[in-house]
Amino acid sequence: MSKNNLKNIEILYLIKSFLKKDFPSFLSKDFSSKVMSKINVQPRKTYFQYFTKLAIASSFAIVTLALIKVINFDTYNFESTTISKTKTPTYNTSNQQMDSNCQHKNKKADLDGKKCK
Amino acid sequence: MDIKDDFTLIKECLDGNTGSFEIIVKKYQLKIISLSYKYTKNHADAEEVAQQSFLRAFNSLDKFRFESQFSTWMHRITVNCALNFINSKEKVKEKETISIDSGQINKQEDSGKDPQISAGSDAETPYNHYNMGKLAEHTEKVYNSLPKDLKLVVKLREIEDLSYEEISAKTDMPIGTVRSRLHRAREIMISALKDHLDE
Repeated sequence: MSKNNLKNIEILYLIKSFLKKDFPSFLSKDFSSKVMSKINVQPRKTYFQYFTKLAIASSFAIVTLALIKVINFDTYNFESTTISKTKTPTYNTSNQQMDSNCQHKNKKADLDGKKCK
Repeated sequence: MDIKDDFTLIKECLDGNTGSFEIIVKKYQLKIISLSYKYTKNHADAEEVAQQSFLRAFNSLDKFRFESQFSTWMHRITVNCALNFINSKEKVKEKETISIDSGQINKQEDSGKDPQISAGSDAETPYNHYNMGKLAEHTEKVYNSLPKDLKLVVKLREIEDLSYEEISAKTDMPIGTVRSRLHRAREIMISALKDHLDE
Protein backbone atom coordinates (compact mmCIF):
# COMPACT_ATOMS: atom_id res chain seq x y z
CA MET A 1 0.00 0.00 0.00
CA SER A 2 1.30 3.43 -0.93
CA LYS A 3 2.29 5.99 1.71
CA ASN A 4 -0.38 8.36 0.49
CA ASN A 5 -3.06 5.71 0.92
CA LEU A 6 -1.83 4.92 4.44
CA LYS A 7 -1.92 8.59 5.32
CA ASN A 8 -5.49 8.82 4.01
CA ILE A 9 -6.52 5.86 6.16
CA GLU A 10 -4.94 7.50 9.21
CA ILE A 11 -6.77 10.77 8.52
CA LEU A 12 -10.05 8.97 7.94
CA TYR A 13 -9.82 7.32 11.36
CA LEU A 14 -8.86 10.66 12.89
CA ILE A 15 -12.03 12.12 11.39
CA LYS A 16 -14.10 9.21 12.66
CA SER A 17 -12.85 9.66 16.21
CA PHE A 18 -13.32 13.44 16.04
CA LEU A 19 -16.90 13.06 14.88
CA LYS A 20 -17.56 10.55 17.67
CA LYS A 21 -15.79 12.87 20.10
CA ASP A 22 -13.66 10.02 21.37
CA PHE A 23 -9.99 10.88 20.97
CA PRO A 24 -6.90 11.47 23.12
CA SER A 25 -5.62 15.02 23.65
CA PHE A 26 -2.29 14.28 22.00
CA LEU A 27 -1.02 11.89 19.39
CA SER A 28 2.59 11.50 18.32
CA LYS A 29 2.93 12.21 14.64
CA ASP A 30 5.11 9.14 14.25
CA PHE A 31 3.24 6.79 16.60
CA SER A 32 2.44 4.13 14.01
CA SER A 33 5.89 4.26 12.45
CA LYS A 34 7.44 3.79 15.91
CA VAL A 35 5.29 0.71 16.44
CA MET A 36 6.11 -0.66 13.02
CA SER A 37 9.85 -0.08 13.44
CA LYS A 38 9.72 -2.06 16.69
CA ILE A 39 7.82 -4.82 14.96
CA ASN A 40 10.26 -4.94 12.06
CA VAL A 41 13.24 -5.11 14.41
CA GLN A 42 11.91 -8.27 16.05
CA PRO A 43 13.19 -11.62 14.77
CA ARG A 44 10.53 -13.25 12.68
CA LYS A 45 9.27 -16.76 13.24
CA THR A 46 10.41 -18.64 10.16
CA TYR A 47 9.79 -22.13 8.82
CA PHE A 48 13.43 -22.88 9.53
CA GLN A 49 12.86 -22.29 13.24
CA TYR A 50 9.81 -24.56 13.23
CA PHE A 51 11.80 -27.23 11.38
CA THR A 52 14.69 -26.97 13.86
CA LYS A 53 12.32 -27.37 16.80
CA LEU A 54 10.71 -30.39 15.18
CA ALA A 55 14.10 -31.93 14.44
CA ILE A 56 15.25 -31.46 18.05
CA ALA A 57 12.04 -32.99 19.42
CA SER A 58 12.15 -36.01 17.11
CA SER A 59 15.85 -36.68 17.72
CA PHE A 60 15.21 -36.55 21.47
CA ALA A 61 12.41 -39.08 21.05
CA ILE A 62 14.61 -41.40 18.98
CA VAL A 63 17.45 -41.28 21.55
CA THR A 64 15.02 -42.02 24.38
CA LEU A 65 13.55 -45.00 22.53
CA ALA A 66 17.03 -46.33 21.73
CA LEU A 67 18.08 -46.03 25.36
CA ILE A 68 15.01 -47.96 26.49
CA LYS A 69 15.84 -50.71 24.04
CA VAL A 70 19.54 -50.85 24.96
CA ILE A 71 19.03 -51.14 28.70
CA ASN A 72 18.44 -54.81 29.50
CA PHE A 73 15.85 -55.04 32.18
CA ASP A 74 16.36 -58.83 32.55
CA THR A 75 19.54 -58.24 34.50
CA TYR A 76 17.48 -56.92 37.34
CA ASN A 77 15.88 -59.51 39.55
CA PHE A 78 12.45 -58.57 40.57
CA GLU A 79 11.03 -60.61 43.45
CA SER A 80 7.50 -60.80 44.49
CA THR A 81 6.95 -60.50 48.20
CA THR A 82 3.81 -60.95 50.16
CA ILE A 83 3.03 -57.94 52.18
CA SER A 84 1.51 -59.10 55.39
CA LYS A 85 -0.42 -56.71 57.39
CA THR A 86 -1.03 -57.47 61.04
CA LYS A 87 -4.52 -56.61 61.90
CA THR A 88 -4.91 -54.26 64.74
CA PRO A 89 -8.01 -54.59 66.84
CA THR A 90 -10.50 -52.02 65.80
CA TYR A 91 -12.74 -50.50 68.31
CA ASN A 92 -15.98 -49.32 66.91
CA THR A 93 -17.20 -46.76 69.35
CA SER A 94 -20.60 -46.20 67.81
CA ASN A 95 -21.55 -49.86 68.01
CA GLN A 96 -19.90 -50.42 71.33
CA GLN A 97 -21.69 -53.01 73.37
CA MET A 98 -20.86 -54.27 76.75
CA ASP A 99 -20.19 -57.93 76.75
CA SER A 100 -21.86 -60.21 79.24
CA ASN A 101 -18.62 -61.01 81.04
CA CYS A 102 -17.91 -57.36 81.53
CA GLN A 103 -14.56 -57.71 79.86
CA HIS A 104 -14.26 -54.15 78.88
CA LYS A 105 -11.85 -52.14 80.82
CA ASN A 106 -13.27 -48.80 80.07
CA LYS A 107 -13.42 -47.07 83.34
CA LYS A 108 -15.33 -44.20 81.82
CA ALA A 109 -18.34 -46.41 81.35
CA ASP A 110 -18.45 -46.93 85.08
CA LEU A 111 -18.18 -43.29 85.67
CA ASP A 112 -21.09 -42.57 83.34
CA GLY A 113 -23.21 -44.89 85.42
CA LYS A 114 -23.17 -47.81 83.02
CA LYS A 115 -22.98 -51.07 84.82
CA CYS A 116 -22.10 -54.51 83.74
CA LYS A 117 -24.94 -56.90 83.34
CA MET B 1 -10.53 4.44 -0.70
CA ASP B 2 -11.10 0.77 -0.07
CA ILE B 3 -10.24 -0.36 3.47
CA LYS B 4 -10.02 -4.07 4.07
CA ASP B 5 -11.81 -5.55 7.06
CA ASP B 6 -9.89 -6.63 10.14
CA PHE B 7 -10.02 -10.36 9.48
CA THR B 8 -8.54 -9.95 6.00
CA LEU B 9 -5.79 -7.70 7.38
CA ILE B 10 -4.96 -10.21 10.12
CA LYS B 11 -4.83 -13.08 7.63
CA GLU B 12 -2.46 -11.04 5.48
CA CYS B 13 -0.27 -10.39 8.53
CA LEU B 14 -0.20 -14.09 9.33
CA ASP B 15 0.89 -14.75 5.76
CA GLY B 16 3.91 -12.53 6.39
CA ASN B 17 2.67 -9.16 5.16
CA THR B 18 3.57 -6.95 8.12
CA GLY B 19 2.45 -3.89 6.15
CA SER B 20 -1.16 -4.88 6.80
CA PHE B 21 -0.54 -4.49 10.50
CA GLU B 22 0.30 -0.83 9.94
CA ILE B 23 -3.25 -0.31 8.69
CA ILE B 24 -4.52 -1.98 11.88
CA VAL B 25 -2.31 0.34 13.96
CA LYS B 26 -3.60 3.40 12.13
CA LYS B 27 -7.17 2.19 12.53
CA TYR B 28 -6.98 1.57 16.26
CA GLN B 29 -4.25 3.89 17.54
CA LEU B 30 -6.64 6.55 18.86
CA LYS B 31 -8.94 4.09 20.60
CA ILE B 32 -6.03 2.25 22.19
CA ILE B 33 -4.25 5.43 23.34
CA SER B 34 -7.53 6.75 24.80
CA LEU B 35 -8.10 3.48 26.63
CA SER B 36 -4.52 3.42 27.95
CA TYR B 37 -4.88 7.02 29.11
CA LYS B 38 -7.83 6.02 31.29
CA TYR B 39 -5.40 3.86 33.26
CA THR B 40 -2.16 5.81 33.12
CA LYS B 41 -3.51 9.39 33.35
CA ASN B 42 -0.43 10.51 31.46
CA HIS B 43 -0.09 10.96 27.70
CA ALA B 44 3.49 9.74 27.39
CA ASP B 45 2.72 6.62 29.42
CA ALA B 46 -0.50 6.06 27.49
CA GLU B 47 1.44 5.99 24.23
CA GLU B 48 3.99 3.63 25.72
CA VAL B 49 1.26 1.25 26.88
CA ALA B 50 -0.42 1.49 23.48
CA GLN B 51 2.87 0.62 21.77
CA GLN B 52 3.33 -2.40 24.04
CA SER B 53 -0.24 -3.48 23.34
CA PHE B 54 0.23 -3.36 19.58
CA LEU B 55 3.50 -5.27 19.86
CA ARG B 56 1.90 -7.92 22.03
CA ALA B 57 -1.05 -8.17 19.68
CA PHE B 58 1.27 -8.60 16.70
CA ASN B 59 3.30 -11.29 18.45
CA SER B 60 0.22 -13.27 19.42
CA LEU B 61 -1.77 -12.80 16.22
CA ASP B 62 -1.52 -16.54 15.58
CA LYS B 63 -3.49 -17.08 18.80
CA PHE B 64 -6.32 -14.85 17.63
CA ARG B 65 -9.42 -16.93 17.03
CA PHE B 66 -11.61 -15.40 14.41
CA GLU B 67 -14.63 -15.79 16.67
CA SER B 68 -14.65 -12.44 18.42
CA GLN B 69 -14.04 -8.99 16.97
CA PHE B 70 -10.46 -7.83 16.72
CA SER B 71 -11.32 -4.65 18.62
CA THR B 72 -12.55 -6.69 21.63
CA TRP B 73 -9.39 -8.77 21.63
CA MET B 74 -7.21 -5.67 21.31
CA HIS B 75 -9.14 -4.01 24.13
CA ARG B 76 -8.38 -6.94 26.45
CA ILE B 77 -4.67 -6.88 25.56
CA THR B 78 -4.49 -3.14 26.23
CA VAL B 79 -6.15 -3.44 29.64
CA ASN B 80 -3.68 -6.17 30.62
CA CYS B 81 -0.72 -4.13 29.39
CA ALA B 82 -1.95 -1.04 31.25
CA LEU B 83 -2.36 -2.96 34.49
CA ASN B 84 1.09 -4.51 34.12
CA PHE B 85 2.54 -1.07 33.42
CA ILE B 86 0.90 0.43 36.51
CA ASN B 87 2.09 -2.47 38.67
CA SER B 88 5.68 -2.19 37.45
CA LYS B 89 5.62 1.57 37.96
CA GLU B 90 4.35 1.16 41.50
CA LYS B 91 7.14 -1.31 42.22
CA VAL B 92 9.70 1.18 40.93
CA LYS B 93 8.14 3.86 43.12
CA GLU B 94 8.35 1.60 46.17
CA LYS B 95 12.03 0.96 45.46
CA GLU B 96 12.64 4.67 45.12
CA THR B 97 10.93 5.35 48.42
CA ILE B 98 13.11 2.77 50.13
CA SER B 99 16.26 4.11 48.49
CA ILE B 100 18.19 6.74 50.40
CA ASP B 101 18.66 8.82 47.26
CA SER B 102 14.99 8.82 46.45
CA GLY B 103 14.77 12.60 46.26
CA GLN B 104 17.46 12.81 43.62
CA ILE B 105 15.96 10.01 41.54
CA ASN B 106 12.54 11.60 41.56
CA LYS B 107 14.01 14.90 40.45
CA GLN B 108 15.88 13.21 37.61
CA GLU B 109 12.77 11.40 36.47
CA ASP B 110 10.66 14.51 36.55
CA SER B 111 13.14 16.47 34.51
CA GLY B 112 13.48 13.64 32.00
CA LYS B 113 9.81 13.67 31.08
CA ASP B 114 8.22 16.10 28.75
CA PRO B 115 6.28 18.39 31.07
CA GLN B 116 4.04 19.57 28.26
CA ILE B 117 2.77 16.09 27.62
CA SER B 118 2.32 15.26 31.27
CA ALA B 119 0.54 18.49 32.02
CA GLY B 120 -2.68 17.64 30.19
CA SER B 121 -4.69 18.93 27.31
CA ASP B 122 -4.43 22.60 28.17
CA ALA B 123 -0.67 22.62 27.82
CA GLU B 124 0.99 23.72 24.60
CA THR B 125 1.33 20.93 22.06
CA PRO B 126 4.87 19.64 21.49
CA TYR B 127 6.02 19.97 17.89
CA ASN B 128 6.04 16.21 17.30
CA HIS B 129 2.44 15.76 18.45
CA TYR B 130 -0.89 16.53 16.85
CA ASN B 131 -3.05 18.93 18.79
CA MET B 132 -6.14 16.82 18.69
CA GLY B 133 -8.43 19.49 20.10
CA LYS B 134 -7.66 21.91 17.28
CA LEU B 135 -7.93 19.20 14.64
CA ALA B 136 -11.29 18.14 16.04
CA GLU B 137 -12.54 21.72 15.87
CA HIS B 138 -11.43 22.01 12.26
CA THR B 139 -13.02 18.65 11.37
CA GLU B 140 -16.31 19.72 12.87
CA LYS B 141 -16.27 22.92 10.83
CA VAL B 142 -15.65 20.96 7.63
CA TYR B 143 -18.36 18.45 8.55
CA ASN B 144 -20.88 21.21 9.20
CA SER B 145 -20.07 22.84 5.88
CA LEU B 146 -20.82 19.66 3.92
CA PRO B 147 -23.95 19.59 1.73
CA LYS B 148 -26.92 18.03 3.51
CA ASP B 149 -27.00 14.80 1.49
CA LEU B 150 -23.31 14.12 2.11
CA LYS B 151 -23.57 15.07 5.77
CA LEU B 152 -26.35 12.58 6.31
CA VAL B 153 -24.34 9.71 4.84
CA VAL B 154 -21.28 10.65 6.89
CA LYS B 155 -23.38 10.79 10.04
CA LEU B 156 -24.93 7.38 9.47
CA ARG B 157 -21.72 5.68 8.43
CA GLU B 158 -18.96 7.30 10.51
CA ILE B 159 -20.83 8.25 13.67
CA GLU B 160 -23.57 5.64 13.88
CA ASP B 161 -21.50 2.87 12.26
CA LEU B 162 -24.31 1.65 10.02
CA SER B 163 -23.55 -0.65 7.10
CA TYR B 164 -24.13 0.43 3.50
CA GLU B 165 -27.23 -1.76 3.36
CA GLU B 166 -28.65 -0.22 6.53
CA ILE B 167 -27.99 3.31 5.25
CA SER B 168 -29.59 2.43 1.93
CA ALA B 169 -32.69 1.09 3.71
CA LYS B 170 -32.89 4.05 6.04
CA THR B 171 -32.51 6.73 3.38
CA ASP B 172 -34.22 4.96 0.48
CA MET B 173 -31.11 5.40 -1.62
CA PRO B 174 -29.48 2.75 -3.80
CA ILE B 175 -26.28 1.32 -2.27
CA GLY B 176 -24.28 2.72 -5.19
CA THR B 177 -25.43 6.24 -4.36
CA VAL B 178 -24.57 5.73 -0.69
CA ARG B 179 -21.09 4.59 -1.64
CA SER B 180 -20.46 7.44 -4.05
CA ARG B 181 -21.75 10.10 -1.63
CA LEU B 182 -19.66 8.70 1.19
CA HIS B 183 -16.63 8.58 -1.07
CA ARG B 184 -17.15 12.22 -2.03
CA ALA B 185 -17.69 13.33 1.56
CA ARG B 186 -14.59 11.46 2.73
CA GLU B 187 -12.50 13.02 0.00
CA ILE B 188 -13.60 16.51 1.00
CA MET B 189 -12.96 15.92 4.68
CA ILE B 190 -9.64 14.13 4.23
CA SER B 191 -8.22 16.78 1.93
CA ALA B 192 -9.35 19.54 4.30
CA LEU B 193 -7.72 17.85 7.29
CA LYS B 194 -4.63 16.94 5.32
CA ASP B 195 -4.03 20.59 4.54
CA HIS B 196 -4.48 21.41 8.19
CA LEU B 197 -2.05 18.67 9.28
CA ASP B 198 0.60 19.89 6.89
CA GLU B 199 0.42 23.46 8.20
